[in-house]
Amino acid sequence: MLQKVGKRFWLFALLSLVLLVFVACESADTNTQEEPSNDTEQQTGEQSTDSSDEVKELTIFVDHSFWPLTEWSGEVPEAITEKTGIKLNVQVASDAQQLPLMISSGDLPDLVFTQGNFQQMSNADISYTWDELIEKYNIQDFEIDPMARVLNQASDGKLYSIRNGFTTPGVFQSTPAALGNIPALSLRTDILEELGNPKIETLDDLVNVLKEVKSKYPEMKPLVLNPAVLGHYFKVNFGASYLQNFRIVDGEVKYYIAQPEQYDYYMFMNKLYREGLISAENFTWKDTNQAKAMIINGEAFAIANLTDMYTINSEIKASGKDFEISQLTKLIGENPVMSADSAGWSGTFITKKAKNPEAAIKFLQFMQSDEGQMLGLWGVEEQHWTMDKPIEEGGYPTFKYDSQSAAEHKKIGSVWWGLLADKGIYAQVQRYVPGSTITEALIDAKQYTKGNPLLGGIVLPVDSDEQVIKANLDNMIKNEEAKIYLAQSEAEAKQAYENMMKIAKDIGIDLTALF
Amino acid sequence: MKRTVEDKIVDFVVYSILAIVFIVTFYPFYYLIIISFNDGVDATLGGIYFWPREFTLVNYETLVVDPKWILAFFVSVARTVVGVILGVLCTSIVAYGLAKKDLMFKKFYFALFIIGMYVSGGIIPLYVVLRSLHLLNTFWVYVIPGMLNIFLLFIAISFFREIPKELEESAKIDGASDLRIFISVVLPISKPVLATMALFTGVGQWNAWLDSAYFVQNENLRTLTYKMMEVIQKANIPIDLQGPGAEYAAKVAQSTPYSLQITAMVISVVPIICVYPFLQKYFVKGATIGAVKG
Repeated sequence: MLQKVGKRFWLFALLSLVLLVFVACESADTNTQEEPSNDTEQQTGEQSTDSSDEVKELTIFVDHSFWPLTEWSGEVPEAITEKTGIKLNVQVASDAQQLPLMISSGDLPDLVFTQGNFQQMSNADISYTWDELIEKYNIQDFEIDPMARVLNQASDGKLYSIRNGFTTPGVFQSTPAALGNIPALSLRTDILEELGNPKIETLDDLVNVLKEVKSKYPEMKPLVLNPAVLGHYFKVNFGASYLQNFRIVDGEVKYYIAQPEQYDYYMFMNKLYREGLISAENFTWKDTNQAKAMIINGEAFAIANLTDMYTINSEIKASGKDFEISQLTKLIGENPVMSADSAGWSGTFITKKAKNPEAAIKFLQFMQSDEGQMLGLWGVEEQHWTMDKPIEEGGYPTFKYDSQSAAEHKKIGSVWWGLLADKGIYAQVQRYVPGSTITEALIDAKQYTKGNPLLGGIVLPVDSDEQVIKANLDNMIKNEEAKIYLAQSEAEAKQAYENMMKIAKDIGIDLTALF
Repeated sequence: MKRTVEDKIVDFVVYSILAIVFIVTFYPFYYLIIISFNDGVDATLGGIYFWPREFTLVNYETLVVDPKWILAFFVSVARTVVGVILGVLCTSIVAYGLAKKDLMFKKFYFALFIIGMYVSGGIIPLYVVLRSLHLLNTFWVYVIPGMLNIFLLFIAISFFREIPKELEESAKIDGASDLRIFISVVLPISKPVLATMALFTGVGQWNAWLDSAYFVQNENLRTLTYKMMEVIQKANIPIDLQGPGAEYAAKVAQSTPYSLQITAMVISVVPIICVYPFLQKYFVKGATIGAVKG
């Protein structure tokens, strides 16, 4: 009897639970189903007047699984909605296959923000060109940089989107507070003090310090490399490109490994390995946290990373340790070069499925305007930042919050939404924090910044022979360069490098000059 | 009977192998659990084998109090319960019909199901079909596509074929309809196969995350395994991302500790592991159905 009652109770409880979830899901469904009808009303309304105070909702698909903001909430998005009358319904990709599936099925939202599928989205059947919408809705003052137009032109000669983060070299150099991002090398200051603060002005100086650390602190790893940026810091110091793109070598455009400077870089990395200053294990790491954790736990002396020493220091402090790391503020190679070949990375598209293309193009117009850029990337003026003079005259924002903190950005919604139409320059000025070590390093690196965005703008057609060659080269390099890094002697490393270049030749690296 | 030296040696070898198998299968789960109770930064250093080095409940606090995770848990429970009930019912009804020797066009049906089992249309046609059925972005997209499982269908057919024909005939003489026979006679004596089907369907439903990722956009309909994948994906910086993109990705990726990813896995896996022992006895019986023909 009791058993029966027990069974009934559990059955009832289970069914109640299911019912409860159904009700919750049903109401959620109802909410989402209501949205299109609102939009339809908006659309109808807009044909007569677009100046309605009603908030329009556009759906955006962000094709970056790391994107931290899954909702349109926070002070910055609210301010953007106030300015534009537009609110975004945010969908973030769960993996790289999701957008291709949506493209194939034709089930696209109003806006798509993508890097990996930029070419696929640049298609007249899938997306509107910005120019046709600007013309159709008679939009005034929508300025598109001529160079950005050239760099983002699709194979049909039309402009479907503009990759963000692109600044012309001229604008970058003439804006005093604009700073690029650079790979960084940070070291423990307490150990440096114990060693008598030796000078680190050349790569040899660095090697000597690492050797000293190895002999005095044998249990400590002298140098750990963040796998996401691995040897980028050293590439910069050797003047080799750390971006996997095309370079001018002997007057011809060639794939980056054809640069002679790459050889010097590989030999240096092999030397670090042979001297026991970096470990073989480091090359197996996939998690970017591993190198950082070694530093935080006091198990490593130096880290080759991105410019985030403040974040690491705050985590060291939080874990109860009493040391700090500091980034080298000068590049230490003989002929360092910071590549400025980037033509941008990700762009926003207005799809042919957009319920309200006029609202979408007006939204992008605002987001790429100076006002929209400052709001999206920095926050609300006066509330989050102030500025004494325009950036062209050396101005930079003084933030009222920790402008380097990812948690703060997430909380107020700054930075991320500004990236949708980021013109580069405002994100670069945001890096300027007077008196900070990072800023000092970035200012030093600026003088070595060289490049040609046209090289970064080379996009090989999807499934073309050229793209296949490039993909084969990339795969080959991943395997072969590890053999150079981990060679047991200099001669063996040299041999491994020559092998890599021979395979590259067989794959067709010389043909890259014809692309 | 006295055990010989040979018996003892054989026992020793058998128990040793079983012990090794136990350790190999159990330890990964144990490892996940201890890492989930360890501090995030410390866990990344490795060297944790038997118990947490820096014990903390922060990882669980972070996820368990998140309303989105709580809702995702209930969605997962609901899809599993409803998916199992409808999946088992639908598959067993079809199997019962196909088990009949005198069914018309039987070969055609079998050919259809076998083709369906081995040939997949791929995800894009599936997406298009689901869209045409207006199932996208609804709870039912989790349940309806899995209502007929071909693999389980063949297991059930094998089982139903073994049921003595006389049982059904006697029920028919008493005036029972086919449906009545199925519900009142066949199902009560088919517990092993039903439990096997329930277990396979339940585990499949609980573990599925792709349908939540590809066919659903409503955050209120996300499943627990999807949330787990989300935590793991957000911690990975895409290798092809360079320049400023990599810088932004790195900033947020670094805020997802390794132990938090592991905790997400533990939270997603533990509920289904708890159910497993209760169905195991049926599972063993059911898995051997049709294996031996008398």
